[in-house]
Amino acid sequence: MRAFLAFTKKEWVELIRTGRLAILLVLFSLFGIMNPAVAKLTPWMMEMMADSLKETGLTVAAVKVDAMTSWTQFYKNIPIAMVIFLLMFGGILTAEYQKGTLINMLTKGLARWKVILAKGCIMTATWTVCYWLCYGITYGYNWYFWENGIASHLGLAAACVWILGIWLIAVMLLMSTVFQTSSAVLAATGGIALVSYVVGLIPKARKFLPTHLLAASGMLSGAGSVEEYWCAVWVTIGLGVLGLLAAVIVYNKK
Amino acid sequence: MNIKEVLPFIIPLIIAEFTLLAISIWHILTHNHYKRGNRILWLIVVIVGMEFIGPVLYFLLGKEDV
Repeated sequence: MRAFLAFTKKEWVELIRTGRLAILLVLFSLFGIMNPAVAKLTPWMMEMMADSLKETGLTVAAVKVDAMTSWTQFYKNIPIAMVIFLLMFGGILTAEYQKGTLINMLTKGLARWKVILAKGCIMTATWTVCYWLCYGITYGYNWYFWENGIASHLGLAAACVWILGIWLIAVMLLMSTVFQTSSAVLAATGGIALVSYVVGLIPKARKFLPTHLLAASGMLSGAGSVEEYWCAVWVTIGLGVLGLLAAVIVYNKK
Repeated sequence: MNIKEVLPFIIPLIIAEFTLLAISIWHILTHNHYKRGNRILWLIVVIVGMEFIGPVLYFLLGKEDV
Protein backbone atom coordinates (compact mmCIF):
# COMPACT_ATOMS: atom_id res chain seq x y z
CA MET A 1 0.00 0.00 0.00
CA ARG A 2 2.81 2.42 0.83
CA ALA A 3 4.47 1.80 -2.50
CA PHE A 4 1.18 2.35 -4.27
CA LEU A 5 0.57 5.65 -2.51
CA ALA A 6 4.11 6.82 -3.14
CA PHE A 7 3.83 6.03 -6.83
CA THR A 8 0.44 7.72 -7.06
CA LYS A 9 1.97 10.77 -5.44
CA LYS A 10 4.78 10.74 -7.98
CA GLU A 11 2.21 10.65 -10.77
CA TRP A 12 0.32 13.50 -9.15
CA VAL A 13 3.44 15.66 -8.88
CA GLU A 14 4.23 14.90 -12.51
CA LEU A 15 0.74 15.95 -13.51
CA ILE A 16 1.19 19.33 -11.88
CA ARG A 17 4.84 19.94 -12.81
CA THR A 18 4.30 19.26 -16.50
CA GLY A 19 1.44 21.76 -16.47
CA ARG A 20 -0.92 19.11 -17.81
CA LEU A 21 -3.48 19.57 -15.06
CA ALA A 22 -3.59 23.35 -15.44
CA ILE A 23 -3.99 23.12 -19.22
CA LEU A 24 -6.74 20.54 -18.96
CA LEU A 25 -8.64 22.49 -16.31
CA VAL A 26 -8.54 25.68 -18.35
CA LEU A 27 -9.50 23.81 -21.51
CA PHE A 28 -12.47 22.06 -19.96
CA SER A 29 -13.68 25.35 -18.47
CA LEU A 30 -13.39 26.91 -21.91
CA PHE A 31 -15.49 24.11 -23.36
CA GLY A 32 -18.00 24.56 -20.56
CA ILE A 33 -18.37 28.27 -21.29
CA MET A 34 -18.52 27.82 -25.05
CA ASN A 35 -21.64 25.62 -24.99
CA PRO A 36 -24.10 28.17 -23.61
CA ALA A 37 -22.25 30.98 -25.39
CA VAL A 38 -22.85 29.36 -28.78
CA ALA A 39 -26.47 28.74 -27.86
CA LYS A 40 -26.89 32.34 -26.78
CA LEU A 41 -25.29 33.66 -29.94
CA THR A 42 -27.31 31.50 -32.35
CA PRO A 43 -30.35 33.81 -32.70
CA TRP A 44 -28.07 36.77 -33.17
CA MET A 45 -26.05 35.03 -35.88
CA MET A 46 -29.25 33.93 -37.57
CA GLU A 47 -30.38 37.56 -37.64
CA MET A 48 -27.11 38.58 -39.19
CA MET A 49 -27.42 35.91 -41.81
CA ALA A 50 -31.12 36.49 -42.41
CA ASP A 51 -30.41 39.58 -44.50
CA SER A 52 -28.00 37.87 -46.82
CA LEU A 53 -30.22 34.83 -47.01
CA LYS A 54 -33.22 36.94 -47.96
CA GLU A 55 -31.45 37.89 -51.14
CA THR A 56 -31.21 34.25 -52.07
CA GLY A 57 -34.89 33.83 -51.34
CA LEU A 58 -34.64 32.03 -48.01
CA THR A 59 -36.44 33.35 -45.01
CA VAL A 60 -35.35 32.42 -41.57
CA ALA A 61 -37.95 32.02 -38.89
CA ALA A 62 -37.11 33.30 -35.44
CA VAL A 63 -35.06 30.66 -33.64
CA LYS A 64 -35.98 29.80 -30.14
CA VAL A 65 -33.06 29.02 -27.91
CA ASP A 66 -33.30 27.30 -24.56
CA ALA A 67 -31.28 25.07 -22.29
CA MET A 68 -31.67 22.19 -24.74
CA THR A 69 -29.70 24.05 -27.41
CA SER A 70 -26.90 24.49 -24.95
CA TRP A 71 -26.98 20.84 -23.85
CA THR A 72 -26.93 19.73 -27.47
CA GLN A 73 -23.78 21.79 -27.89
CA PHE A 74 -22.35 20.13 -24.79
CA TYR A 75 -22.76 16.64 -26.23
CA LYS A 76 -21.45 17.79 -29.58
CA ASN A 77 -18.30 19.28 -28.10
CA ILE A 78 -17.43 16.84 -25.34
CA PRO A 79 -15.95 14.22 -27.74
CA ILE A 80 -13.42 16.83 -28.88
CA ALA A 81 -12.50 17.54 -25.27
CA MET A 82 -12.23 13.79 -24.69
CA VAL A 83 -9.85 13.39 -27.64
CA ILE A 84 -7.64 16.22 -26.37
CA PHE A 85 -7.64 14.63 -22.92
CA LEU A 86 -6.53 11.27 -24.34
CA LEU A 87 -3.88 12.93 -26.53
CA MET A 88 -2.45 14.62 -23.45
CA PHE A 89 -2.15 11.27 -21.69
CA GLY A 90 -1.04 9.26 -24.73
CA GLY A 91 2.50 8.87 -23.44
CA ILE A 92 1.63 8.03 -19.85
CA LEU A 93 3.43 4.68 -19.94
CA THR A 94 5.36 4.81 -23.20
CA ALA A 95 7.28 7.92 -22.16
CA GLU A 96 8.51 5.96 -19.15
CA TYR A 97 9.60 3.01 -21.29
CA GLN A 98 11.59 5.30 -23.54
CA LYS A 99 13.32 7.06 -20.68
CA GLY A 100 13.71 3.85 -18.72
CA THR A 101 12.52 5.55 -15.55
CA LEU A 102 10.43 2.60 -14.41
CA ILE A 103 13.21 0.01 -14.45
CA ASN A 104 14.76 1.25 -11.24
CA MET A 105 11.52 1.15 -9.34
CA LEU A 106 10.48 -2.23 -10.68
CA THR A 107 13.80 -3.86 -9.84
CA LYS A 108 13.57 -2.40 -6.35
CA GLY A 109 10.40 -4.35 -5.85
CA LEU A 110 7.52 -2.16 -6.90
CA ALA A 111 4.74 -4.48 -8.03
CA ARG A 112 3.81 -4.01 -11.65
CA TRP A 113 0.10 -3.92 -11.10
CA LYS A 114 0.57 -0.97 -8.78
CA VAL A 115 2.11 1.02 -11.61
CA ILE A 116 -0.89 0.39 -13.84
CA LEU A 117 -3.39 1.00 -11.07
CA ALA A 118 -1.76 4.23 -9.92
CA LYS A 119 -1.70 5.60 -13.44
CA GLY A 120 -5.28 4.52 -14.00
CA CYS A 121 -6.39 6.18 -10.76
CA ILE A 122 -4.68 9.45 -11.57
CA MET A 123 -6.10 9.57 -15.09
CA THR A 124 -9.58 8.68 -13.91
CA ALA A 125 -9.43 11.30 -11.18
CA THR A 126 -8.28 13.96 -13.64
CA TRP A 127 -10.97 12.99 -16.12
CA THR A 128 -13.62 13.08 -13.39
CA VAL A 129 -12.64 16.52 -12.16
CA CYS A 130 -12.27 18.02 -15.64
CA TYR A 131 -15.45 16.50 -17.00
CA TRP A 132 -17.70 17.50 -14.13
CA LEU A 133 -16.14 20.93 -14.09
CA CYS A 134 -17.15 21.36 -17.74
CA TYR A 135 -20.60 19.98 -16.97
CA GLY A 136 -20.99 22.21 -13.92
CA ILE A 137 -20.10 25.36 -15.82
CA THR A 138 -22.57 24.58 -18.60
CA TYR A 139 -25.18 23.68 -16.01
CA GLY A 140 -24.64 26.95 -14.15
CA TYR A 141 -25.01 29.07 -17.25
CA ASN A 142 -28.08 27.18 -18.37
CA TRP A 143 -29.62 27.64 -14.98
CA TYR A 144 -28.86 31.35 -15.11
CA PHE A 145 -30.19 32.02 -18.60
CA TRP A 146 -32.88 29.42 -19.10
CA GLU A 147 -34.54 26.55 -17.28
CA ASN A 148 -32.70 23.27 -16.84
CA GLY A 149 -36.04 21.69 -16.03
CA ILE A 150 -36.96 21.08 -19.66
CA ALA A 151 -34.20 18.50 -19.98
CA SER A 152 -34.82 15.27 -18.14
CA HIS A 153 -32.17 12.91 -16.71
CA LEU A 154 -29.42 15.50 -17.03
CA GLY A 155 -27.06 13.92 -14.54
CA LEU A 156 -27.65 10.41 -15.82
CA ALA A 157 -26.95 11.32 -19.43
CA ALA A 158 -23.80 13.13 -18.37
CA ALA A 159 -22.69 10.13 -16.31
CA CYS A 160 -22.97 7.95 -19.45
CA VAL A 161 -20.39 10.03 -21.30
CA TRP A 162 -18.24 10.09 -18.17
CA ILE A 163 -18.25 6.27 -18.04
CA LEU A 164 -17.31 6.17 -21.71
CA GLY A 165 -14.30 8.33 -20.85
CA ILE A 166 -13.23 5.91 -18.12
CA TRP A 167 -13.52 3.01 -20.56
CA LEU A 168 -11.28 4.83 -23.04
CA ILE A 169 -8.75 5.40 -20.26
CA ALA A 170 -8.72 1.66 -19.51
CA VAL A 171 -8.31 0.88 -23.22
CA MET A 172 -5.45 3.33 -23.44
CA LEU A 173 -3.71 1.73 -20.47
CA LEU A 174 -4.06 -1.69 -22.08
CA MET A 175 -2.66 -0.38 -25.36
CA SER A 176 0.18 1.31 -23.47
CA THR A 177 1.25 -2.07 -22.14
CA VAL A 178 1.09 -3.61 -25.62
CA PHE A 179 2.79 -0.93 -27.73
CA GLN A 180 6.04 0.94 -27.28
CA THR A 181 5.31 4.38 -28.73
CA SER A 182 2.61 6.85 -27.82
CA SER A 183 1.48 7.29 -31.43
CA ALA A 184 0.81 3.56 -31.68
CA VAL A 185 -1.09 3.69 -28.40
CA LEU A 186 -3.26 6.56 -29.60
CA ALA A 187 -3.86 4.97 -32.99
CA ALA A 188 -4.88 1.68 -31.36
CA THR A 189 -7.20 3.41 -28.88
CA GLY A 190 -8.79 5.39 -31.68
CA GLY A 191 -9.06 2.18 -33.68
CA ILE A 192 -10.97 0.43 -30.90
CA ALA A 193 -13.35 3.35 -30.55
CA LEU A 194 -13.81 3.30 -34.32
CA VAL A 195 -14.56 -0.44 -34.31
CA SER A 196 -17.20 0.14 -31.64
CA TYR A 197 -18.66 2.94 -33.73
CA VAL A 198 -18.72 0.94 -36.96
CA VAL A 199 -20.29 -2.11 -35.32
CA GLY A 200 -22.81 0.32 -33.86
CA LEU A 201 -24.09 0.99 -37.36
CA ILE A 202 -25.85 -2.36 -37.09
CA PRO A 203 -29.09 -1.39 -35.34
CA LYS A 204 -29.35 -4.59 -33.31
CA ALA A 205 -25.86 -4.38 -31.87
CA ARG A 206 -25.91 -0.68 -31.15
CA LYS A 207 -27.48 -1.00 -27.73
CA PHE A 208 -24.62 -3.03 -26.34
CA LEU A 209 -21.73 -0.86 -27.45
CA PRO A 210 -19.77 1.71 -25.45
CA THR A 211 -19.98 4.35 -28.17
CA HIS A 212 -23.77 4.20 -27.85
CA LEU A 213 -23.26 6.17 -24.64
CA LEU A 214 -22.29 9.20 -26.72
CA ALA A 215 -25.87 9.31 -27.89
CA ALA A 216 -27.07 9.48 -24.28
CA SER A 217 -28.19 13.05 -24.91
CA GLY A 218 -31.28 11.43 -26.41
CA MET A 219 -32.42 10.99 -22.82
CA LEU A 220 -32.67 14.74 -22.34
CA SER A 221 -35.40 15.38 -24.83
CA GLY A 222 -37.16 12.17 -23.90
CA ALA A 223 -36.45 10.71 -27.37
CA GLY A 224 -34.63 7.79 -25.82
CA SER A 225 -35.61 5.94 -22.70
CA VAL A 226 -33.21 5.43 -19.82
CA GLU A 227 -33.46 1.64 -20.06
CA GLU A 228 -32.05 1.80 -23.54
CA TYR A 229 -28.68 2.80 -22.14
CA TRP A 230 -28.32 0.42 -19.21
CA CYS A 231 -26.96 -2.37 -21.40
CA ALA A 232 -24.33 -0.10 -22.87
CA VAL A 233 -23.40 1.18 -19.40
CA TRP A 234 -22.86 -2.32 -18.01
CA VAL A 235 -20.98 -3.49 -21.09
CA THR A 236 -18.76 -0.42 -20.91
CA ILE A 237 -18.01 -0.90 -17.23
CA GLY A 238 -17.35 -4.61 -17.83
CA LEU A 239 -15.04 -3.91 -20.75
CA GLY A 240 -13.25 -1.25 -18.73
CA VAL A 241 -12.54 -3.66 -15.87
CA LEU A 242 -11.48 -6.36 -18.34
CA GLY A 243 -9.22 -3.87 -20.07
CA LEU A 244 -7.57 -2.98 -16.80
CA LEU A 245 -7.10 -6.64 -15.87
CA ALA A 246 -5.68 -7.40 -19.30
CA ALA A 247 -3.33 -4.45 -18.95
CA VAL A 248 -2.01 -5.83 -15.66
CA ILE A 249 -1.58 -9.33 -17.14
CA VAL A 250 0.18 -8.10 -20.26
CA TYR A 251 2.39 -5.81 -18.23
CA ASN A 252 3.35 -8.60 -15.85
CA LYS A 253 4.64 -10.62 -18.78
CA LYS A 254 6.86 -7.87 -20.13
CA MET B 1 -28.51 41.40 -28.57
CA ASN B 2 -26.98 43.93 -26.25
CA ILE B 3 -23.59 43.87 -24.68
CA LYS B 4 -24.88 43.11 -21.20
CA GLU B 5 -26.17 39.72 -22.25
CA VAL B 6 -22.81 38.67 -23.61
CA LEU B 7 -20.73 39.89 -20.69
CA PRO B 8 -21.22 36.79 -18.51
CA PHE B 9 -19.56 34.81 -21.30
CA ILE B 10 -16.95 37.22 -22.49
CA ILE B 11 -15.32 37.85 -19.14
CA PRO B 12 -14.64 34.21 -18.15
CA LEU B 13 -13.69 33.38 -21.74
CA ILE B 14 -11.12 36.16 -21.79
CA ILE B 15 -9.77 35.10 -18.41
CA ALA B 16 -9.51 31.44 -19.46
CA GLU B 17 -7.89 32.24 -22.79
CA PHE B 18 -5.35 34.58 -21.29
CA THR B 19 -4.52 32.08 -18.56
CA LEU B 20 -3.86 29.48 -21.24
CA LEU B 21 -1.78 31.97 -23.22
CA ALA B 22 0.19 33.00 -20.14
CA ILE B 23 0.96 29.40 -19.15
CA SER B 24 2.13 28.56 -22.66
CA ILE B 25 4.28 31.65 -23.14
CA TRP B 26 5.84 31.18 -19.74
CA HIS B 27 6.57 27.57 -20.60
CA ILE B 28 8.05 28.45 -23.99
CA LEU B 29 10.30 31.14 -22.57
CA THR B 30 11.60 29.02 -19.71
CA HIS B 31 12.55 26.09 -21.98
CA ASN B 32 15.29 26.12 -24.56
CA HIS B 33 14.63 22.87 -26.32
CA TYR B 34 11.46 21.67 -27.95
CA LYS B 35 10.42 18.41 -29.49
CA ARG B 36 9.97 20.18 -32.80
CA GLY B 37 10.40 23.72 -34.04
CA ASN B 38 12.01 26.61 -32.23
CA ARG B 39 11.06 29.35 -29.83
CA ILE B 40 9.94 31.91 -32.42
CA LEU B 41 7.76 29.39 -34.23
CA TRP B 42 6.00 28.32 -31.05
CA LEU B 43 5.48 31.88 -29.85
CA ILE B 44 3.81 32.70 -33.17
CA VAL B 45 1.67 29.55 -33.08
CA VAL B 46 0.57 30.15 -29.51
CA ILE B 47 -0.23 33.82 -29.98
CA VAL B 48 -1.98 33.43 -33.34
CA GLY B 49 -3.95 30.41 -32.17
CA MET B 50 -4.60 31.74 -28.70
CA GLU B 51 -8.28 30.83 -28.68
CA PHE B 52 -7.12 27.49 -27.26
CA ILE B 53 -5.82 25.64 -30.32
CA GLY B 54 -2.33 27.24 -30.22
CA PRO B 55 -1.50 26.31 -26.61
CA VAL B 56 -2.93 22.82 -27.13
CA LEU B 57 -0.73 22.31 -30.19
CA TYR B 58 2.30 23.49 -28.25
CA PHE B 59 1.70 21.18 -25.31
CA LEU B 60 1.00 18.22 -27.57
CA LEU B 61 3.69 18.67 -30.19
CA GLY B 62 6.23 21.18 -28.97
CA LYS B 63 6.79 20.51 -25.31
CA GLU B 64 9.77 18.34 -24.63
CA ASP B 65 9.11 15.35 -22.39
CA VAL B 66 10.76 15.96 -19.07
